[in-house]
Amino acid sequence: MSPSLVVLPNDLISEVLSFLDVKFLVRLRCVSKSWKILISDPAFVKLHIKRSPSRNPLFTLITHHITEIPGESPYGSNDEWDLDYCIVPCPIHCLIENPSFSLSVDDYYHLNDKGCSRIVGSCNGLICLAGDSFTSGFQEYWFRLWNLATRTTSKKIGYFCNLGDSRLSFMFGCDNTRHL
Amino acid sequence: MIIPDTCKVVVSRYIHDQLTSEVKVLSFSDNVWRNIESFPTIPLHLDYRGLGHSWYDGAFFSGTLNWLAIHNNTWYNGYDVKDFTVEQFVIVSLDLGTVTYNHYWLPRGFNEVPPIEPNVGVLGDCLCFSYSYKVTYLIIWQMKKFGVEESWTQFLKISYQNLQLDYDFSWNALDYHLRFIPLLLYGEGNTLILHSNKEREAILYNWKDNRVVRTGVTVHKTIIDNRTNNYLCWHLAKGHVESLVSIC
Repeated sequence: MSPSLVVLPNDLISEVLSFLDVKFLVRLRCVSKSWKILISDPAFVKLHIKRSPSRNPLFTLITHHITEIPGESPYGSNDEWDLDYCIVPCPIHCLIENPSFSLSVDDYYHLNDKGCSRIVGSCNGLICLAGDSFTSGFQEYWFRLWNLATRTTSKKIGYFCNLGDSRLSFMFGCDNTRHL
Repeated sequence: MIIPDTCKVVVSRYIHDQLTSEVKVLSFSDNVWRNIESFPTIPLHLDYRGLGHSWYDGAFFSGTLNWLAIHNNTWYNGYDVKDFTVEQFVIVSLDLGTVTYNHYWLPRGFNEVPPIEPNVGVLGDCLCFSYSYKVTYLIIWQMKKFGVEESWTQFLKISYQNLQLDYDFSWNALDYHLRFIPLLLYGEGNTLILHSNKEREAILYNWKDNRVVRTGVTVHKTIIDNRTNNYLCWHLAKGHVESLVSIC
């Protein structure tokens, strides 16, 4: 008897796929047009987030990198310092099983390359970054979203200027109740 | 497909002489800033920003941003909390859906103002509140049912002795400088990952069998150059989920 083709309903496929890691799903998007549509469907994306507790728990580590840029003076008086941060996702079980390890930071995780200098917060797998620059008496700020798993960043948005040196507090979050 | 339309940035500027804050919200769906009303309290952690990151300005939990504040007061220098009373501490909670505030009282068992600011965070899928007590204990409470003040439950009371701290306890100002931040729970909640500002590494504390392990992480960039110093900011470590949310 030749094997017959079994057609699974889409609901069942998305149920099964929702337990998989992002990395794997990104590859599965190339399997067929229908899978691509399914995996990109907002309803599936939400279901996949809902399933996060069943996957390996992760955490993000922030690393700080200070590079000395020597100036022309031999005495170091005009040396400059380049400051950068990285945000690195890691499975928590790796830390528990092996608390001493060497963390090699992938170049992709640097904030400066994204035109940003600080982390505002994270939610639903998205990191919100902020950048700023000081020009003609104004401090200008902008924001950018970053999905670490799919390796995509949004364009810079939310430009605003702040006068003077008053301290600003930045926070980030998503309104989960309405859409999840 | 754009899901991040539910994502928002909140920027607040505290105005000292008016005892109020200017608050505005950016919605990623339309890239528009909207001013919202302020909540008449003084936010804590004004001067405590890990290296310019605002990770601890607010704890995001279940569609809300939560932070610790002082109400009924005229002045706060940004770091000294010992002149306040426990009744003045409050958690302010901003609902990102309705853009309205709630405030929550702290657990009744919180009956003595700690020498250094307490901390609000998320631990084990609950909003949590932690502080040091009499240079002896770290106390952590969990709000078991979010938004219900009666559901505050003492989760852990950890003796400093159990954490095997080798700090100089003869220095009587230690308590004003020692801050713990509970970072994560792991393994059915038995292992607490904890940061102490007196240590470079994190503390892994299994409170079930009272075992303590310290991490030993070295950081380097993929391209190693000897002009760069690399540090790990344990106090900024946070739980993370991976998602397919598209932002292009």
